[in-house]
Order: sequence, then structure tokens, then C-alpha cells
Amino acid sequence: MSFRLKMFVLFPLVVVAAVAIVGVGVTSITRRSFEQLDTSHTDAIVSQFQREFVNRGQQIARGVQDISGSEATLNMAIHLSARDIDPSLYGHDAVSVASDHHFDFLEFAGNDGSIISSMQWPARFGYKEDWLLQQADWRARGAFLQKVDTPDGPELGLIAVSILPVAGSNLYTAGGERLDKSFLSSLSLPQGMRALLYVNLGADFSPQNLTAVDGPITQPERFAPLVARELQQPGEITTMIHWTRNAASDEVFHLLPLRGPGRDLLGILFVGSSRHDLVLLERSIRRLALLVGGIALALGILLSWWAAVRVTWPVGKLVAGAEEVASGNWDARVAIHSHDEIGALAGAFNQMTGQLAEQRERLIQTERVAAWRELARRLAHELKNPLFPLQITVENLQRAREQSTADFDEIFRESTGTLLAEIQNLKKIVGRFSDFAKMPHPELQPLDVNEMVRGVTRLFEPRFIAPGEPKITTELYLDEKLPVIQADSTLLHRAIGNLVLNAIDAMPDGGKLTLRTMTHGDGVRLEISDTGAGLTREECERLFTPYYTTKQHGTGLGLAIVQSVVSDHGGRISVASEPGRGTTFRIDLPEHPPDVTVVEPIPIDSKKSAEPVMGRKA
Amino acid sequence: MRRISFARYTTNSLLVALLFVAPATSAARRPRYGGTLKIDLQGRVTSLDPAQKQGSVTGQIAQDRLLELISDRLVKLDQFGEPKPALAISWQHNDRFTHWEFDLRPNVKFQNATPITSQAVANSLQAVNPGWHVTAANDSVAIESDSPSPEMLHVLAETKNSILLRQADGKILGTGAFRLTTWVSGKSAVFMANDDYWGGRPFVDSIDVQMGRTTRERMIDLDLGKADIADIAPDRARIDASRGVKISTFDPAELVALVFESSSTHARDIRIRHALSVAIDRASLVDFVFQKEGMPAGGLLPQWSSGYAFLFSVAPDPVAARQLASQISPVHALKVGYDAADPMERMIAERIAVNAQAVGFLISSRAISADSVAGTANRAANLTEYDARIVRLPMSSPAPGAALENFLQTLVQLGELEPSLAAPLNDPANPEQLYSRERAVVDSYEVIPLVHVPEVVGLSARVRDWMPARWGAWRISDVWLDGAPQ
Amino acid sequence: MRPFRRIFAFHLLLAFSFPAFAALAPLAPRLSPSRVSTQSSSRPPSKLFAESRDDDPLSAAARELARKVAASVDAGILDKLAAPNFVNLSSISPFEFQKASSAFRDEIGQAAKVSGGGSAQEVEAASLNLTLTENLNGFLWIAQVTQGRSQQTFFVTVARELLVQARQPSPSVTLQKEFLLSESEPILDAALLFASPGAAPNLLVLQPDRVALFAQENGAWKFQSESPIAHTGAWPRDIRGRLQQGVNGEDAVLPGVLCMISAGSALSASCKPGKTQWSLSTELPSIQPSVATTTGNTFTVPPLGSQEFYSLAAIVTPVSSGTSTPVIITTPDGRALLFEDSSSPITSFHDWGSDIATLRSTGHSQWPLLVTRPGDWTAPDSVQAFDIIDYQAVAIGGDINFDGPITALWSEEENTVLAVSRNLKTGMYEAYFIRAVYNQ
Repeated sequence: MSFRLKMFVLFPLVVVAAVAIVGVGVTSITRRSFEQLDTSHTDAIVSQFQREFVNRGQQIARGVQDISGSEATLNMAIHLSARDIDPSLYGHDAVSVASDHHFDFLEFAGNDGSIISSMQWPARFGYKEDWLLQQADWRARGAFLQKVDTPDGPELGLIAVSILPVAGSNLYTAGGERLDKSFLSSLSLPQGMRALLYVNLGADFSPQNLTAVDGPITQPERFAPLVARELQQPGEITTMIHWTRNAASDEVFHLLPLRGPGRDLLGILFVGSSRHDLVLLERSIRRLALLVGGIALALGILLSWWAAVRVTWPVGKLVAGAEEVASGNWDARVAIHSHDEIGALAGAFNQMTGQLAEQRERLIQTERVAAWRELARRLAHELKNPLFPLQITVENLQRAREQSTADFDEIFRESTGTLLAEIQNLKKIVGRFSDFAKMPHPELQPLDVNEMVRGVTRLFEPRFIAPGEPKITTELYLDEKLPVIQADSTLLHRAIGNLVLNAIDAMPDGGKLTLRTMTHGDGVRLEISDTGAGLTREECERLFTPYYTTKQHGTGLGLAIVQSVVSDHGGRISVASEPGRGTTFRIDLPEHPPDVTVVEPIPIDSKKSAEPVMGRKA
Repeated sequence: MRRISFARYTTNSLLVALLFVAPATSAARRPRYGGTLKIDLQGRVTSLDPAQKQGSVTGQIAQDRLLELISDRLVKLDQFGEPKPALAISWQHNDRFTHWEFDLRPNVKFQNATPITSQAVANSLQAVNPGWHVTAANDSVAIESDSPSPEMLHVLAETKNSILLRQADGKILGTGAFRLTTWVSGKSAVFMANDDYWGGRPFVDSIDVQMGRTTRERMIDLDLGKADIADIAPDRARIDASRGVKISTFDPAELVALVFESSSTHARDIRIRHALSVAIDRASLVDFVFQKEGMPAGGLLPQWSSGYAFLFSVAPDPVAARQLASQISPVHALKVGYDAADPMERMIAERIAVNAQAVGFLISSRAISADSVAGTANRAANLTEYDARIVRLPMSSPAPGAALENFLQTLVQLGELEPSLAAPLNDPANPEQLYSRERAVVDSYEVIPLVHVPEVVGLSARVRDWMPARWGAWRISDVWLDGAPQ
Repeated sequence: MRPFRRIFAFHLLLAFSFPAFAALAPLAPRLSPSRVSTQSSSRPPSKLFAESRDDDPLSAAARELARKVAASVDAGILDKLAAPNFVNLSSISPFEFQKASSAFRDEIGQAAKVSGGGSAQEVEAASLNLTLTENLNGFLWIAQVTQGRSQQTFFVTVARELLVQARQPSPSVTLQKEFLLSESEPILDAALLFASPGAAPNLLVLQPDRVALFAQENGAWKFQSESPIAHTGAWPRDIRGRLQQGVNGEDAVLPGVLCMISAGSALSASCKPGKTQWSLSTELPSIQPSVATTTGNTFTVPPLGSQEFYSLAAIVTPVSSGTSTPVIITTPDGRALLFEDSSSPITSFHDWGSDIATLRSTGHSQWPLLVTRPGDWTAPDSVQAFDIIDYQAVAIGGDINFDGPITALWSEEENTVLAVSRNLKTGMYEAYFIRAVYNQ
């Protein structure tokens, strides 16, 4: 992934991430504060309900006490305490008394709890209210929730009981108010909140038992699981109802269980707070965040594009320049004129390439001079050797003549012979130089490298085993699956022969010569190793330089010829050597040699067993 | 039986009044003439013509009471329910009781001074008895009926058989002790004494009748002396008596019963009806709803009339009811209807619901709008949504035979009873026959008798010689007002 | 000195030897049938029923019903039906009902004999409920024969007129009071003593602390002599005393004290403490009531167990034959209970005073019962005569008034009852003899 793309992606990502973090943070904070507000409202309503509950309870208890203590009730009690008294006379009393005290429920019951007069269900006279007998001191109990039977089914009442004992028999007065809509309407509910009352009097959930202050309740059946849950795990529960798919319709309900004297669950107060406002706010925050995020993203993209371009264009030019330099164009330059770091970098680059070019030029000239000097030294060296005998012979001849000795003829013959021999020697030397100068182009034809290697070995074998010669053993490791390559067998044979001669020269005391072939890439590799003294790093570096030799006698052209042959075949030659460990020449030849030119070999670091690079000219 | 009942059985009707209103008649004096008797009635009467059924039971009773003022029957009943001559002075019948002849009392005039003729009598009777063939002879009237009518005399003594002259303008004239002078249908009426009444001019000069008065209004009127006679709801009798009102209670002559709608599917299973019948605690109904005015009813006829009512058990049997209920599954909730305008019916329905609930039935009581309560004529369709309803059936006659036949016919007309059960009785005077018929009806559980309720009347202090018949006939013509101008 | 003589008209023996006999409650507030299960069919008619003939309409109807039943049911079960459950829902008196129902029983019994009966094993057990009820026109006998699940019902009617005719009116009676004397101290009892037949009688008066003898002068009783009554301890606040014939002369019986009185030359009373037997009803010497407590004012009598009462009166008809005499007692709870031949009352009467006494009169089919008024001693009192007919108290005349409460009412010799009244105006205790005059 390019630097520009990286910059291009990173920048918008950072922007979007930042916006997202802000959006989420604000939303969660808003939600938390809303929830805290809801909780405080709910608590307020619950405590308000409980206050109202207590107040009404006290009123009712007082009212029931008043009724129980009234003259009429006392007369009733006295009359009923007598034996064989028929209570039906009082059958209608409860209704009138209840209306005086604005009670929804009122019952008078006899000593055995049987109803004497019932306001809420007059027809139930004579039936027993057993619960009345379950407590001795109702006054201490105060008002409490009680399931009240009526013709229209059970209702929930806030009831108080008073006992009027007369002549050993009790008259029970049980009265109170209905716990319903009107009771809820006394609660002041803030916007978005509502209070519902569920009267839990039947075995199963019944929607009719659920009342709200205002109007009907939609989907009352949705409360059934809440009621069931409250029944299973008594206690205050807070839970949410999703009315529709739209989250704005969600409502959080706080359930307050209402219990009777026997701790039995008689009712549940639902305090509901709508999530509508919260959800709307959250939505607007989210929308805003998206909008901001979107714009930021667009800007980010533009900015990052601009920045990327601004930053990476010069870098790109630098890269291109560097690549040109790498490809050998030492004159490559970067045209950047900014004054920032990039500009400085570009300047430095141009300066660097400039210096590189100069140094190379200088190096080439130095080398050329050196080569010429080497050539001159060689020529001098080579030509001086025969010149000295020539001089000597000529001088001998001159002396002989002066002395006119008899043996002059002898001496003359001998001297002209020597002269001819030395001149021949000179011709040979000159011939070798001219040979090197006019090295022929290889004529390619299919060649079995193994076969050629065997041929070379056979050529030298007599010498390996000749007496007086150092004892050298040869080992061939030839890969029989070698492809047949296109090569000039004569040139390669000569080159390999040179290398073998080198190896023989490197082992004056004998040793082991190893020749190895193997497939390499789509070509072949040939290695010739000796166990001679090996070469130093400097020797390796200069090994292929023409006219360089480590031998007493040698023109130093051998390896140069080898190298030119190899490179003419489009191959590469490298040398790996360590002093005392012998030397290995390695030749890689392609199956089909392109049109190649010799490139100045670069010695390889034998320690890293690096290969000398023989790159192709593009 | 209550001691008071015994006294009423064995003493003359004067003593009846004495027992009811003892303080008022402590000082016996000869009657005075004059004064206006003011009557408050609960019921609304839309027409005095017995051919016109009234909208409600109270209206029906009120119509009877008013008819008694303006008209006579051929026959009247004495305090023991024995037929005595009235407009007819003698009668004969054939052996099969299908042919009756009545000799008319001479010199009787309608209130427009036209003398009563046998033809007028025949017309009057024919109008309300389409089943009869009534013919007029010189001074007698002959009644032919397809089926034997041994109870003919008692039937003729019913108010519906009042002898009336129906005029072209729809007005009706009678031969009674009073004549109608002002009539505001359903609201009020004024009657003047009929000076030429064949039975002798009544003591009071006029009667001022207010109809459709509420319980409260009637009580206030009595207290303030704005009413001399007002009918009182039975459940008020004790309370009002304790407030010093003079109360006159008649024999329980009205049957309150629970009748099942023939259309009801839920109550089709006889076991349900049976279970409900034995679940009901009738005694409590009497004690509480009727404040002890009335008798628990196991049969259709009250004990005082039939004498065998005790053979029908009225004791609740919750155990049996539960057993029956347990045999039926599922037990559907029954809807019991009651007259929305009648608080007592409502209380009865609710009490029945409570009793039923105690044995594992579910019964809901529903009000029926007033217009659909009325008898046979205008039964609204909405009745069909009830499985059963409370009905009040006043006895048409104190005679058990006539009363039973009338009950059965009414029930058949209401469509709640198998018509075969209303077939005429061979010998309605024979208690054995009455009993077996009544038993058959009761055991069908199509009708569940609940209570026999008496008519209760409140009297002002100035009412004297209040000597009604035990079963409700008021006999206003004997009443006089203390302190009325001579 | 001639012995004192007290005149007794009748000496009837009371036999409290009862079969089980459940009380009747004929006037229950609602239809609550009361049952009579009398096993013995040989009970003679009671004297409390106005003289009745065998052919009274109810019995005749009962017999007819019996025949009807006998004719329709399986002869084998007739003997089982001989002891039916009788229920009276009518206004007919228990006795009248009893009489008629025994007629039914006899008839069924005879029918059973005629049919020869059947073995109890062969036929299913059967029961018979016999009910006398009443409808508009008259009375109804209804028999319900229940055998297994099957039930038959039989009716017989009785016209009301027949019964009304069968009833007899009682003659009316006028009570007269004769003033004897007045004393500042309470008068407990007084009795006439005849020295000899035809001689002028003396009046022996018992008071809490003395017995005094009075002689008649110019139509008024003058004091002759007195003798103190020695007693240890205080008398009850409402002390009662009775002069009754002792072994040799008059005895004065007071709570816990018995005095033998000799009215020789000087009046003397020798008293000794001990349990005293009182003769409250001279007709019933065999009842020897004793005071419940020596500090109280009530009596108990063995056949009635611990039932306390203020006074006791026998209901006697001269023509009555048989072994039992019904009695009425007045109890502290204000009721008067009628016992015929049972230790449990047959019926009770209300609104009576606590003092009652039998007036042993000749001219009447039944000795009238003199009854005081209810109330306390702050109000004047009166005495009225009643006949007990059909177990109901029927007033047979107006009452005579006193100026104060009656403090003692004792049945004396023929047609005489002693009444002591405390005059509210003067505070004096006045003794009277009450006698009856019949206007037939």
C-alpha cells in the first residue's frame, strides 16, 4: 500500500472516528441524565402515591370509627346482641350510612362475621366475611388494602375495620374507598409520565383490572408478563415495554406492588415514563453526528488527497530519480523547488547524484590510466625479456668478428639462431596481445556441457598423472539432467581449460580438482574448485582484470578471456575463495544466450559467498 | 302460619281491618259522608279498559284497583273467596260447566244513566274473553265455553271481567260506586261518588288519584296528609310502620318467580335449572329483600290459597346443587334479567347470583329496559339475550283453580312454558288435580317460584273502615274519612 | 271447741307419669311444621278441648283420608303407616288436631287389621306424613305416602263452615270483689274459720310477724287476738305465706318456718324452722311445692324439676274423668306455662301477671282461671277470668280493678279467691274475696 494511499485513508478515518466518539459520548451522557431524571420522577410519584395512600387510609379509618361509634350503630349492636333477633331490619343501613360518609364500600357484620348489611353488595347479606374474624385489634391495623366482592366482580378497596363489642358479641363495621381511577387522579404526573393501577384479584391477568387516569389503555395484554413477573419475584421492578418497532414508543415502567394484610399481592402500581423525548434527542444527536461525520469525511478526503499529493509528489519524483540512478543513469535529477524538507531532500539527492557521476567519471579515467600503465608495464616486461639476449648475442657477434677467430662461423651460426628464436618469442607475445584484442564472437550450437567437461578433463588427465608433476586428483559431479544449451563449444572449452590450468597452477603441491555441473534456473551451473592456497579478497576483486596475474609467468589475460567468453554467452562468472581453503569458480550459463555484452565484473564477497553481478544491459 | 293469619282466617273482615289498623279504629263510630280520598299509586295506568294490558305489573295492579272503583263484576267474592251475587243475582250451569247463565240485577244503570242491558254485559264480557261465546237473553246472559269452566264464577269475579260500556270515543263507563270525571293518562285521575250506585252511595265524595309516584313521594305524601292511601313496597312496610305509618298488609297474592327463556341454550339442561332452584335461599329473600313481608314460594300458588304449598320444598340444598352442577360441564354463565325500574327485582336477581355463586354457578344479573318487561304483547327482542328473568305474577283470583289457570296461561303466553302444561283442569276445585298440575310445572324447572309477596298499603290517620279483601280488593266504597265535613 | 273446718270441693290426683311428649309450637313465624309423634293411640281426650263429638268434621275427614290411603296403597305396608308423622299447619288447636289425627290412626289401624297386614320383610319400608293445612275455603288433610322413591299424595277437604258450627261459645262471667280488711303490714293470707256449721265465721289473717284473728261486727272485721310468729333470721323481702290445713288445725307456712296455730281460748302459734311443703292448689294436695330458697319468693315442685315458679293453678272441669289434671305455672321470665301430662310445657301464655289462681266455681264447665296483669308494683292491678279452650286462653269476662298491685292471690273455698292488694294511694294492704257471677 503506497504512502499516498495510506495517507489518503488514514486522514478520513481519524476524522470519522473523532466524530463517532463525540456522538456516542454525548448520546450516552444524555441517556444517563434522562434516566436519572426518570428515576427521580418515578420516585417522586411513588412517594406521592404512598403519601396519598396513608392520608386516605387515615381518613377512612377515622370515618369507620365514626360510623362504628355512632348512636345508630350502637343501637343496632345492642339490638343484635339480643337472642333471636332478625338482622334483616338493618339490611339497608349500610347504603345510607355509606352515602353519608362518601364511602364506596361499607359492611356491617355480626359476631360470626356474617354480613348484616352490605353497601357494595346488598344481596350478600347473611354470607360470612371470615377475614373480619382473623384479627382481634383492627383499630391498630389502620386502613389496609382488601379485596372487596361486588356484584360486578371483586374490586380493590382501601378498607378499615372497627369492632363494636356489646354484651359479649361484636358488631364489625368495615368500610372504605375504591382504589381506582379517582385515586390515581390525585397524583400529579409530569409530562410524559403516567400511572396505571392493576388490581390483581383473579387467578389470571385480566385487562379490565388495569386502569389509567385518562382514557383507555392500548394493548393492555402487554402488561400480563409484567404482572406475572411481579407475582413470581415480588418486589419493585423496573422494566421496559416496546409498544411498537419505533423506539420512540418505548416506555419504562416501575412496578410498585400493593399488598393486603396477608402480604398477598392485591394490586400493582405501574409508573410509566415515556422514552419518546429521550429517543428523539438521541436521534437528533445521531443525525447531527452523521451529518458532521459526513462533511468531515468529505473534507478529510479532499484534504488528505491534497496533503497526499502535496507530500508524496516530490517523494515520488525522488523515488523515480533514485530508480534512474539505480538503473545506471547517473545523470538523473529531481526537479523540486520547494523550500521545505522535501525540497532540501531533493537538493541533497541531486547533489548526491552529481557527485556520484563525477566520482564515476574519475574512477573510469583512473582505471583506464591504470590499465594502460599495466599494459605498458606488461609490454615492457614481456618485450624486455627477449631484448636482453638479443643485445647480448649481437654484442657477442661483434666481438667475435673483431677477434676473427676461427670459430667465428660457429659463433655466428649460434648467434643468429638465438636471434631468430628471440624474435620468434617477441612475435608470439605480440600475437597473444593481438589475440586478446580480437576475441571472436561465439558461434552458438547445442552443447552438452557435461560432455565438454569430460573432454577438458580427458585433455589434462595425462598431465595429472605424469611423473614429476604435482599429484592432482579429479572429481566430477555431473548432473545428467542438464539441459542442452546453445553455446560455442570451442570458446567454452578454452575458457574451462584456462580455469583448469589456473586450478593446476594453484595446486603446485597437488590436490583435488572438483568439477560440478547442475541445473540452475533455465540454464546450467558449472563449478570448478581446487584445493589450492586460495585468494585474498583483493586478489578476488582484481582477478578478472586483464593483465592481472598472481603467477610468475603469465600474461594475466587468461581469466579475462574466460570472463569475456562467459559474458558473451550471456552468463555470469563468480569466484568464491578463502585463503588456504582453495578457490571455486562458478559459471552460470543460460539455455539460450541473448545478445550480451561484457559488463565489468564486480567481485563478490567470498565471505558472504556473494555472486559477482553480471547484469544485462537493458 | 302466623297467629295474625289465623285471626284473619277465622274472623270477619271487620276484624281483619282491626288487626291491621288497630289504633285507628279504637273508637268505633258510625261512618261519615264526604271528603276527598287521595290515593297515591306506584303504577301508571294508561287505560282503564282491562282489554288494554298495562306496561308493568304495578300498572296492572293499579288498573285493577281503579277498575274496582268504577265497575262491578257479575259476581263478587266474600272474605273467604266464596262467589256472591253482584250484577248477577243468580246463576245456573250445565253439568259439564261449559254453559252458564246469569240473571242480571234489575235497575242497574251505567254511570251515564243508561240502564245496563244484557247485550251490554254480553259485549263487555265478549271483548275480554274471545274464547267464550257470550249471548244476551232478556234479563240474562249466557256464556258458552268450549272447555269446561267450573271456575267460571271466580273468573267472572276478576277485575278484567268488569262490566263496562265501551263508547265510540274509546271512553269506558261502569256501574261502579265511583265515576271517572278527570283522566290524565298515566298521571292522575279524579273520581266522583256515584249517587245512584245500586249498592248505595259510597261515603267519600270524590277520589283523587296520583299515578307513577315514587316510593319517596308516596311516603312524603302519606306523612304530609297529601295521600290517604298509598301502595307501599313490601320491603318498606316494616320501616314505615316503625315510623308510625298505618300499614295494611294483604295476603301474599303476587308470585315472584324466575322464568327461563325458552330460547336460552345455556339453560337447556334441566339439571342446571334444577341446581339453581335448590341453590336459592328463598327464606333469606323474604327476610331481607321483602323485609319479612311475604312467604318463600316452592309452588305457584300461595299456601293461604292452595293449602298444599308446603308440599313444595323451599329449603335450599347447596349440597345437591353442587352435585348437580358438578355433573354439568361446562357450566355456562347464566344471565338473569330484571326490570330496570324495580329495585326489588334487581335485589332478587343479585341474591340469586350470590346463591348460585356459592354452589359454583356463575350468574350475572342484567337490567331489562322497562318497555321490554311488559307482559306478552311487547316482548322486545333483547330479552333473548337473557337466559332467565324475574317475573312478577299477581294472582288474578284468590281461588286456587282460577289463579293457577291464569298463572299457567300467562306463562305460556310469555313463551316460557310447555303449552300442554296450561291445558284446562277438569276440576279446578279439586286440590289433588291442582297439586299434580302445579307439581308438573314446578318439576319442569322452566319456572322457579321464589316468593309470594303481599300487597302493602299505607293509610293516613283519617281513613276509617278500611275493610279490604285479604287478597287485595280495596273496597273503597266502604271507607270513610274521619273529620270529613258531614 | 269444735275443730276448724275447711271446705274442699274436689280432690283430684295429679299423675305426672308421662310418655315422651314433644311440645307443640303451633304459631311458628313461618311455615315450620311442628310434629307430633304420639305412639299411644289410647289417649283419652283432654279436658282442654271444648266438649267434642266423635263425628266432628276434622276427624270424619281424617277417617275418610285414612280410607283413601288404605284403598290406594299396598296392603302390606298399612301396618307401617299406623304411626304416621303428624303435622299441623292449620289454625286448628293442637288438641283438636290430635283428636282428629288419632281418628286417622284408628282408621288406618283397622284397615291394617282388615287387610291382615303383610310381613315387614316382603315390602319396602314406607312412611306416611299426615298434614292438616288450610286454604281459602277450608281445611285440607294431606297424606303423603313415601315408599322408596315413589310418593303418593292424598287430599281430603273440610269446608270451613262445618268447623265454625262445631265450635261452642263460652258463657260470660262477672267477677265481684268483697272487701275484708286493710292493714299497714303486709297480709300474706286469710281464711274464714267456722266454729260450727252456720255459725258466724272468724277471719284468720297471716302477716309476716303474726297471725291475727278477726271477728265480724256490723259488717266489718274487728281485731280479736294475735300471736307472734317466732322466726330466726330475716324474712325474704317479698315474703309469702299460706294458711293451709294441717294435721290438727291450721298451719301457717312461711319460707323455712312452719307454725301450728291453735285458736282455742287464746290464739297461739308454735313455730319451728324446717323445710316447708306448701299447698298452693288445694285441688292438688299431692303436689307439695316447697320454696325454692328460703330467701326467695319462688317455688319448685318435683315433677317440674328445677323449674321455678311464682304461682300454680290447676285447670279443672267437673265432668272430666281420667287421671291427669293440667296445671299452669307463672315463671320468673314472665311467661305462663301450661303442662298437661308432660314435664315440658304444651303451650305458653304471655302478658300475664305472676299471680294466678283457680276459682273453684260450680256453675261453669271449667273452673275459671283468675289472672293478674303484668307490670310492677308501681301500677294498679286488675284480675280477669279466663277459660283454657283449645289450649288457648279465652277471656270469659271483663276484669275487676284494684287501687294497687296484687301482692297475694290464693285459691280459697268454693267460688272464692283471696286477693291482697297494696293500695297505691293509702299504702295500706287490703284483703278481698273475689267471687264469680255467671250470666248464662
